[in-house]
Amino acid sequence: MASVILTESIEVELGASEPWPSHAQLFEPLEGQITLSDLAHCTSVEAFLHMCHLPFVIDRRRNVHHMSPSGVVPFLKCGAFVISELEPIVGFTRTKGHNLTEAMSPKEEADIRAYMALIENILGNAELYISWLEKSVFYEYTSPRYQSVFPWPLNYALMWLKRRQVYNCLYSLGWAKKSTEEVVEEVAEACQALSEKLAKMEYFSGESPTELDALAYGHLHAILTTTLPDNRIATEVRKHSNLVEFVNQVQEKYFL
Amino acid sequence: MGSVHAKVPEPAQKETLTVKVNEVPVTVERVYIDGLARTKNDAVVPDVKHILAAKKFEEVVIRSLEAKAKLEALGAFKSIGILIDTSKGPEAAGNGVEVTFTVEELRHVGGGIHTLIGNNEGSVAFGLRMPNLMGRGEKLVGEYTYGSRKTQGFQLVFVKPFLRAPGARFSAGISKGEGEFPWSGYRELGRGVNAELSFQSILGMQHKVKWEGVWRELSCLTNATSFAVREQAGHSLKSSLHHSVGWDTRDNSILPNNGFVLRLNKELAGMGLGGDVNFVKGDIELQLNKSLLFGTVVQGTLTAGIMHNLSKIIGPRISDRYFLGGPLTLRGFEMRGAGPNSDGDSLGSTSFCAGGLHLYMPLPFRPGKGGFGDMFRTHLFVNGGVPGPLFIGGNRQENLDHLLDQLRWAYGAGVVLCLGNIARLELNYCVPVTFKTTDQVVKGFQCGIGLTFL
Repeated sequence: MASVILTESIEVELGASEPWPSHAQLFEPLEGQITLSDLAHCTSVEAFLHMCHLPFVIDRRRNVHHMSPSGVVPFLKCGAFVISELEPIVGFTRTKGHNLTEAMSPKEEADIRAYMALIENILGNAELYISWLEKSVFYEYTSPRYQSVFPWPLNYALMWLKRRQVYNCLYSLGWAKKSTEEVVEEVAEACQALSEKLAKMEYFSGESPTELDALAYGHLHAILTTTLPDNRIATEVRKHSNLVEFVNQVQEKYFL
Repeated sequence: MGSVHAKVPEPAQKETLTVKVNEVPVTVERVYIDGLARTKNDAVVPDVKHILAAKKFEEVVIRSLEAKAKLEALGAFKSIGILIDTSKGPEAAGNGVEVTFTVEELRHVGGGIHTLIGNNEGSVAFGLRMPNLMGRGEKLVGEYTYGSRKTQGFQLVFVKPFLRAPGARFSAGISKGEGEFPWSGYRELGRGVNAELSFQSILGMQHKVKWEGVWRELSCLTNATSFAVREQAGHSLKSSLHHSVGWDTRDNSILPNNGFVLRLNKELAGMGLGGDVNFVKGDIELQLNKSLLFGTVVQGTLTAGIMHNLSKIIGPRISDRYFLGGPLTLRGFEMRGAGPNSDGDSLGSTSFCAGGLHLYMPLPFRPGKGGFGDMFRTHLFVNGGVPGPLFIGGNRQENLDHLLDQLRWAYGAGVVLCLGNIARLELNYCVPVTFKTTDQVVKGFQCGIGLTFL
């Protein structure tokens, strides 16, 4: 096992000597296939790369979940390197010399880590719960989207397998047994905490954006722009005008 | 079979009585089949019926043995005994005989552990079978196999032979298997269901029509798998119709001396049959054998295949493409070693052709002649092939140049061993002559074990 980690770190070190290629590709699911949780993750990575001013191209495939080395979307192909999920991508861009938290003190960096964990654990799990375990949303939104890329009768088999997998994952985190009201309450508390952290500032850490802003933008934007049969989570986010302002402002600056 | 000599034990004079069995007239009065339990009458009676028409004793014996062979082919009996006796009783004719078949049926369930040889791998199989399920030779076979290439799978097959048509049978089954393909960097799990009908037509040609539905899941073997293979990861559902016809006139399928075999296979996937894999595929295999003086045999082989992808959304998948290279196809190259390649992972292509010329000779000085030594042959060969796409558009000259450019070939010599009349083991010393830098060649000894060789 130790040798595997060593090889990876050597690979990353070698990769650091190459500049960012002009044709980096970010692989994401098809637009008709993508569901809430994946949308949040994809948008986070896109925002982060825009904030670092790193060029990339979005490549949409129907089998991205299987292509990804960790099974999670999106993943980045940079030359010979294939990296998935935001945290590893942040680490990878750091080796290339792009570091959004360079000027921060260790305490501020720890703060950023903590809030990122809050967003992933609360908003991330809430998104999974709402899309896969809340019946109205599952049958009307998630299920048709997930099944759209598979032929009959494979679509049913794979949908149920995925649902069971998500359920088991949420069960081990203690989320599967919550009711939707409890989930919405957790989201409300998380939004309260984020709103207080942001206050009147432009970004969560002050004047310049960090990966925390990218992650927050990804999740909040996905929640606000996706119309679900059960929209209670979006309503909770909208209660905080500074969060909505933040989302609009990042979208204007980096996506349009 | 001409005459039988019977010794009459007389101490004073020794008289031998000669009976010409092909001249003794008999009337077959009855044929009994003793010991039938679940086997149905109509499954066995037609096999023995023609004994009743025998007119001479010799015919009775020969026909009885033929009937025994047919009963054995039913696969329902553990043992079959024949008793031919004169008829007894008041209404018996003077030259009447009765034939009695004493059969012992196989038990309802049987099982066992045995080893299998596949193409370049060996496996152990745990099987369970239920022979003669409904009395007419049907059987249900279940098997779990574990192979040396970490392939594992199970299958459950129901077979029904059509007794009145030789070589005809229907089978249906489900299967699940997982295999690793390290030469291409992926692992594939397949779950399938199939139904197949085989029958014979004129000139002894064997046909097989099969429908197959397979759910395939492809995943990368390691993180180092090339991107071209990584793009193929995921689920696919193939629903396809196969037809193959084979014409085999060889005297032996493993070490033939004379004859030829021609096989044509066609496959249509998708296009209304369901699933998301759409293509049409065809391949041909030809092998000609001619024996020369002193036990040498010269053999020429040719195989080619072409696949046309019919899907507008997805290109030809790696699981359906053709690969060339390995001890069973192109000797002198690693398994899947000749052809398009990305970072060491073989990608395969949509068409190929390959051929070989072989010279087989018995071992020098013929050790173990008449026994063990007959299973060995020495082997000289030259084989070559074009693994890439055969047609690249353009005019005839451009295509020909492309074919010559993509040609790989090798020659060598070795020893061939026939294993139990089912499989073949080869050990060759190969010298690859023409190849590309991306190919994986074997210059030296190469060993292969399998059922079908080019």
